[in-house]
Amino acid sequence: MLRFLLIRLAQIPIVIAVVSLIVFVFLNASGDPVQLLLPVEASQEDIAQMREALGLDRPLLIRYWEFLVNAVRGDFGMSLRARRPAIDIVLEALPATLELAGAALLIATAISLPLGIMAAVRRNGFIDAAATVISVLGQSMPVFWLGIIMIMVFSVQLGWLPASGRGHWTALIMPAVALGWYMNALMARMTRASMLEVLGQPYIRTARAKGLPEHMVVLKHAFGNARIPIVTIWGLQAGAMLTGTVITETVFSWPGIGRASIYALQGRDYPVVLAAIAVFTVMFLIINLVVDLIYFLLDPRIRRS
Amino acid sequence: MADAGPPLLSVRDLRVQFGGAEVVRGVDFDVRQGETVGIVGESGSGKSVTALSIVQLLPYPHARHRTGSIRFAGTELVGAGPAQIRAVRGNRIGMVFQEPMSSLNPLLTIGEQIVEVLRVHRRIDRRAARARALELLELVEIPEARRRLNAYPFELSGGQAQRAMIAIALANEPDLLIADEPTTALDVTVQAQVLGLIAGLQKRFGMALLLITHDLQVVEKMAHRVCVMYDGRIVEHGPVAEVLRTPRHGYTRMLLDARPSGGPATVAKDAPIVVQARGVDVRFPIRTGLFRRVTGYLHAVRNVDLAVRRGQTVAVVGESGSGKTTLGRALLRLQPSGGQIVFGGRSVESLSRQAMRPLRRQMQIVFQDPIGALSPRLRVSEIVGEGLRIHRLGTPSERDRTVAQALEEVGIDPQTRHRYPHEFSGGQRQRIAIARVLVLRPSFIVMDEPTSALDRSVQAQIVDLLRDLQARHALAYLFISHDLSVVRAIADQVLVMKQGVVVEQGSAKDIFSAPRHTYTRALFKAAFDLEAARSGGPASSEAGSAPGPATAPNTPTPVGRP
Amino acid sequence: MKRDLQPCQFGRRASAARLASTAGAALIAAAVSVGSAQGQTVTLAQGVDPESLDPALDTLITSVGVMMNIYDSLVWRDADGNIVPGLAESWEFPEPDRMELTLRQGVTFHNGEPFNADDVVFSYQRLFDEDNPSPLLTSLRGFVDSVEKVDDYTVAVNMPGPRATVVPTLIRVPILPEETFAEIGPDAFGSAPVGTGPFEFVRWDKNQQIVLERNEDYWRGPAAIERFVVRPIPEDFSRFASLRNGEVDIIANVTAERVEEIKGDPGLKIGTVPSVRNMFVGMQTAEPPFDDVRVRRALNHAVDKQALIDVIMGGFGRQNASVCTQTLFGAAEMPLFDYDVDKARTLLSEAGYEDGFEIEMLGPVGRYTKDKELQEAIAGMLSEVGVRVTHVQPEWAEFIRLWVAEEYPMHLIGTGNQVVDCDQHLGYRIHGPRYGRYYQSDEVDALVEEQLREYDTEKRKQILADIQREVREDAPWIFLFDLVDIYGLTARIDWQPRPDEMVWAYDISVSE
Repeated sequence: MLRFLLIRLAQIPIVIAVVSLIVFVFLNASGDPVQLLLPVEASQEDIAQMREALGLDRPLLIRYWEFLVNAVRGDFGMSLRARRPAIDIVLEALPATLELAGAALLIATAISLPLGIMAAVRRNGFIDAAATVISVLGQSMPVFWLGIIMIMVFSVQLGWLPASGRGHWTALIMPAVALGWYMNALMARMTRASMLEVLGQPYIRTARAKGLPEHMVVLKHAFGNARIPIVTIWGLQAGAMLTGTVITETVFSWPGIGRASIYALQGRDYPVVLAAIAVFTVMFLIINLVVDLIYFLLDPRIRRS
Repeated sequence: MADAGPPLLSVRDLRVQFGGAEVVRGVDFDVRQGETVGIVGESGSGKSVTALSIVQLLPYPHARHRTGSIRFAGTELVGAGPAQIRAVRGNRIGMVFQEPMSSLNPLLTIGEQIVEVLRVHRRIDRRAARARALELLELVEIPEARRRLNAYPFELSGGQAQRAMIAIALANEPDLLIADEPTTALDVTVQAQVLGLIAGLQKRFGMALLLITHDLQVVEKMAHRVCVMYDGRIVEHGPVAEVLRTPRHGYTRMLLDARPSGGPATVAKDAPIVVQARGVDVRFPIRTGLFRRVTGYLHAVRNVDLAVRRGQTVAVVGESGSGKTTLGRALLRLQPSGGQIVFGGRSVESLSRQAMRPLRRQMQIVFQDPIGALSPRLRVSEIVGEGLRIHRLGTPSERDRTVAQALEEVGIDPQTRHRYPHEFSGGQRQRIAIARVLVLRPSFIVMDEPTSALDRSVQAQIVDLLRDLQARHALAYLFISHDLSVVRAIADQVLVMKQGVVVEQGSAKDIFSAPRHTYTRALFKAAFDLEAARSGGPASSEAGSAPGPATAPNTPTPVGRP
Repeated sequence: MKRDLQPCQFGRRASAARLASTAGAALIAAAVSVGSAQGQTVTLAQGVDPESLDPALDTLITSVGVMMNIYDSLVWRDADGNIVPGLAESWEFPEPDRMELTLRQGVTFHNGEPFNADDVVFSYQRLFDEDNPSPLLTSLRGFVDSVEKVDDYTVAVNMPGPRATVVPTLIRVPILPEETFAEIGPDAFGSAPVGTGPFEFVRWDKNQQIVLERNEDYWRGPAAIERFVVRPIPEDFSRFASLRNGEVDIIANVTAERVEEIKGDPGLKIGTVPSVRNMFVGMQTAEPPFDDVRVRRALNHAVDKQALIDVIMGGFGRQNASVCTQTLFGAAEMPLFDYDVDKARTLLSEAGYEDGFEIEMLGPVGRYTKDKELQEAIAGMLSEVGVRVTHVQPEWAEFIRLWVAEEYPMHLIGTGNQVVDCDQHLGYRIHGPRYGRYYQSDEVDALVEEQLREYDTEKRKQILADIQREVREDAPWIFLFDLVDIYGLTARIDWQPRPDEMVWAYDISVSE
């Protein structure tokens, strides 16, 4: 276990180095942060001066090397536009993203698991049909549209929820639902499928043959086994959800990392983009670690080998 | 027995329908207290469905009883309420299923799975339940019972898992134990032990036993009375000895004859050697610790020599884990090994993947599980023609012709080649798997338990087919099996393996008539002691360790129930 | 249910409590803004949050707009477009290249630091720091060489030569408190600025809101509203929804199709103002086929500009064949190129392009209102005369790089103007001693130089008119139209939008 943890932790800098190199090359291949920073009437002289002052006149590889050396110490450089540490800009936005992603995970998990279980137990029943509709809708509707439709209905028409911003708990509801919607749909479908598969297993017949009440058969025996593949999907989706924050935070004006990073990307403020990617990567790896720990707890076959 | 009062279980005019198809068509039988009744039939005969009906474990409402009554100890179970049926399940009727591994919840400890069934039926605290669970594990003779309480199913062997299942079934001292193919998935020697255990416990608790099996030997060994099921009906029933000695129904006779018969083809002494192996040795590294260092080796195959000639079958016999499959894979170069392997006069053990490729076509393998081996998404024609395509043999139309020929040769109507595997029966699928190998015109085929997943009557047909093909194409077989009756019908030479070592090797005739090694003898005894009994005499008198049917008590023994 | 409420009270705690009891809904609007329980808070929503509130760092117009509520400049422009005194009470030109300004006395910064000439010198001179260059310097270069203190309340601006537009140029430089800045350092200052302006900085929740409170001691007298909140809402639709929901009072960049919706809502209204921004299609006049004026004129005749305005812009726009937006100082009406496909074809034939030609057009997507639709419509119209357009539509960052590099022969772009003077447009669009691209003319360059040195307003207007005529004849662009800035407002807001794209909250009042 310890070895496994160490490997996982050792992965973090490697992943960040690889990803940042790709981003570095990409960001430098198109657009020019200096031209974006200066008014369009800027002269060549203005541009050259600014480029030198920001250190952008040096070769790409040297800048990348410096970035790596400093990044190891947690220093991602100064934001080209705000002229303050890029990591500060990202960390300021971190709580909002964690709040949003956490709420979305909670919603997706809390709805999809019971829904998927019920759909599997009452196969072809009303709940199963409802779950199918939710899955199809959830997986076919882009977050962007879902967000806009929700704003239209719950803010503009009904006036129940604020259309934008953060601060009051009611402002969290729509973005969290929008962000968690796809995951909820997928998880409900996976839970149903996994439960159906497990419910067909001989040990479920054994559980019934023991005279156990149905709730024990379903929750303890069936779900106990079905949740292992669900955890895999959960982990993958929780990771994918991080990328979903980019759109959700934009639609709902949520002050998180996703929005900060897309804005930085548009301005080619690459220290901020790289800091955001590093923070995303760390979060992603933490999720993976959590998933592995959950496996470890849930599955004795892993625990005892 | 007949005057022992009202039957414990009484089934009348039981019908079971799945959707529109009726699979049990009016079945009547009784089980009395302390009595063992066997239900014998092949897969699809409706015997398991009948058994599951008793405790209402069928997938209702998909399954329906159009008519039928199941009275257990005076209570009607058909249509009984959930609470009522739950009070019977695991309490007054215990059940043991075929696959002990998959019948146990993989994520719960054995202890928990026993404690659970105790606590759901009795007011008993967890500590007491655990103590009782330990008693039960000791009762079913699981070694180191105290440690096994905290073991998970994957940490047990198949036999131990089935013992644990029995412990669960017996936890509440039921009046009736239903055992549905309880030993089919187990190795021969273990089978005998488990059957012995069940018989012993039955005697001790005085419970009735309903034994569902496809294996007549098991019924002979265990049951007082037998019901023979065919196509959803009981076609014949009566005391075991009587039914087996003078079978009245054609199906029963067929069942009795279904054991593979005949002998292997004779092989010329100077037939050319197709495969020769010298000192084949396979080790799997065992890694432990923080850095996964190799701390030892599992010696799966040790220093095996063998030769297979043209038209010859060499059988490798042994229980699971003996190394026989690994040996087969090593010969095909699917598994790295030490020693020398000569194929078609050429040393192949050090050939690269690239260099092996042209030889691959001539060395083929047929697996045990015809369902797993055939891709469900491909049509039969695609499955059979796949090898031709990979080896780029012939034009598409030539390939199609070859496929049709091969199918015809294995007894599958070529017209059906555009169907999918699931549209065929298990036996047909195995024929398709053989056709797939046959199209490539191999000279050497490893048969890895090719008949083990099949019904007895189908087994005999497949053995006939294999012998026929061998004669026609002068094929060399390495025949891996744990089923000695099949081996006897096909093998010319036999290797007996135990823990990676060949303990005995020689002509089949010699080994079957005079096994020398003690392990071979134990293996044979477990497999054949009952077969001998078939021709006369009660089994118990001949088979030392294998018990005969428990004597049914004339008066029912009250079973303690808290 | 929303209509039961005063829209702008929606979003404050006291009203939220009332709502919970009166409205049947279980959920209530968020108390997003910090605002006090009563009083007049006006919330503005715009696309992006400022990077910094240090004017030396962020020159985006939306950020400058926020800053101008906190800071003052030496001079200012009122809502009608007149140049008025700011922190300088008056100014004169002792030499053609030297300007002296008399500063207002008794003004203090929000934190009590008194304002004087040192602050002015500091605010200007820091922009010239070579090691830490400011994007704002770009706006000063060529106009201001240095600023020096004459006495405590007099400063002098030294110019490289006579510069007719130096006064409005000074609007762009806010005055910061020198001592406070030195005390707290640039980082902290950029996040919590101190100025002399009509509103004091209260707090900034990054990407969430900037809260400003009325400066009761403002030298012009206190503003009408108590609190001004600026919120970044990047999505157009969400901005609009927030307005309809009463979460914000003012939104900018309303699209034409939303106008009817806003008009139809009794709680909302629109505010419009002709913009300083002019849209046009640039052509690379140095290379074929656009080196031939007949081709350029042909394309001007081939595009039905009024149709673009009516169909795509919803009627919001004004045809303009001048290089200068009509809202700018010095702009003159120029005769339009009439939409005439036959004339266009004839001109193309004369130039030797009777079969037209294939051409690539660079254009941004999502930067200007309806930019993508405009490009498609223009391409459609050009195909009528055989000019077959291939679109190149990268995202903005790449667009700017390609545009600066003059990689494509045609482009759609719009030019704004912070000085609100023709001169800045000339600088942008005509290649001369300054920075324009794609079009160069020696005659025009000479005139541009001349007007810049001309302090006499009427004479300067004359020269500017000559320039515009000259350029119109040269037709270096497909002249399109001037934009109209459309704001969505809640009904209680009383405010006339300014053409320079800034929302100056001092001008806003609220009728309850």
